Amino acid sequence: MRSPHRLAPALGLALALSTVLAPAAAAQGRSPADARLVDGHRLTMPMLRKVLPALSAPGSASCPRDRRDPRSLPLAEMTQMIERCAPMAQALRRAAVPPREAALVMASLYRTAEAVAIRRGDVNAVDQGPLRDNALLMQENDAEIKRLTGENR
Amino acid sequence: MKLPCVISSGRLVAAALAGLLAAGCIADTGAPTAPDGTAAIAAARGGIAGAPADAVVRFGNPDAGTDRFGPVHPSAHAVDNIIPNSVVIRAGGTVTFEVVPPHVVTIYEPGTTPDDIRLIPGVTLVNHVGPPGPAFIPNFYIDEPNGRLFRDPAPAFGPPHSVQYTFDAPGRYLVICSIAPHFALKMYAWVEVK
Repeated sequence: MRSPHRLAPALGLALALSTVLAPAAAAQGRSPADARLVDGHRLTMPMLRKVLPALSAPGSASCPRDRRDPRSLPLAEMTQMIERCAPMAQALRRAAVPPREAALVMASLYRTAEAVAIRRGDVNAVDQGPLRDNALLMQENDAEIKRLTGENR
Repeated sequence: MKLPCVISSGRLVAAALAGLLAAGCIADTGAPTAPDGTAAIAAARGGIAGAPADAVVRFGNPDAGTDRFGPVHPSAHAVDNIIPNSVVIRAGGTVTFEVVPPHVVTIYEPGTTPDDIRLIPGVTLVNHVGPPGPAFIPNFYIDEPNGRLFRDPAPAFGPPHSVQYTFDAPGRYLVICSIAPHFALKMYAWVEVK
């Protein structure tokens, strides 16, 4: 059996890691695998041009929605919601985008916004990697993305 | 519609505000924003006989830190918050919105209510399926043109900045964040012009 003083460093490291990792996981309310997938997803304009119009396809207003916080929905449930909404699913099919990919894009948009907000709105303060790249993409393509998600199409 | 004064650099907001103040572009309200987001009225210099001339509103709450799911007040999430969420000013007064991205300040004419804003065509906060509350609305930016007086042209993911709007006519104006999930979480506020 290890002595307590040998356990202490490991315990300290575990506690430190949990402090760092817990807020992201808790905030996501998703499985760690989902959270990793969302955090590692890179948005691209070609994909946004397909997904954003499809998700607000005419007729999608009547589709049922999950009433939980949209930023914490598991990807599988977001995917199911999209699949069950015929106008969205058909529009995505026409665009050759799998529903799960569309769910991942939406989750990534929400997560990117969150990451910037907790860095006091400073995109450059977001940790280097997909989240910062996504924020920069959102910044650089602001006008087009607003058009894509607008209702005046 | 008055053209807004936009200050694009977050780091220079204080200095820029001071410069604008010196130039007479805005009044120094010196107004502390309510930390709890309840309906606080921003104090203002020149507030004679009733409503103050101007107000400062914080659009986004960076002080929420990582506790971004802990509600500062029941109607909004911690960072996606407008503080205060209600101000009263005199006609002709100016509200300075201090924007901590990503948010989009959008102002609607008096008479517009949150229930009039369509998140996507055919969907408002009240008429979508299910009980009131957050929902997965597959949209990111709201583009509701009906009754819209102003939408901040600055990129939503751009640097922190301040944007001003002068309210000439009396009425109760709705101010929302046009990022759909934020609005769905009730990120909206009121400017009452006396």
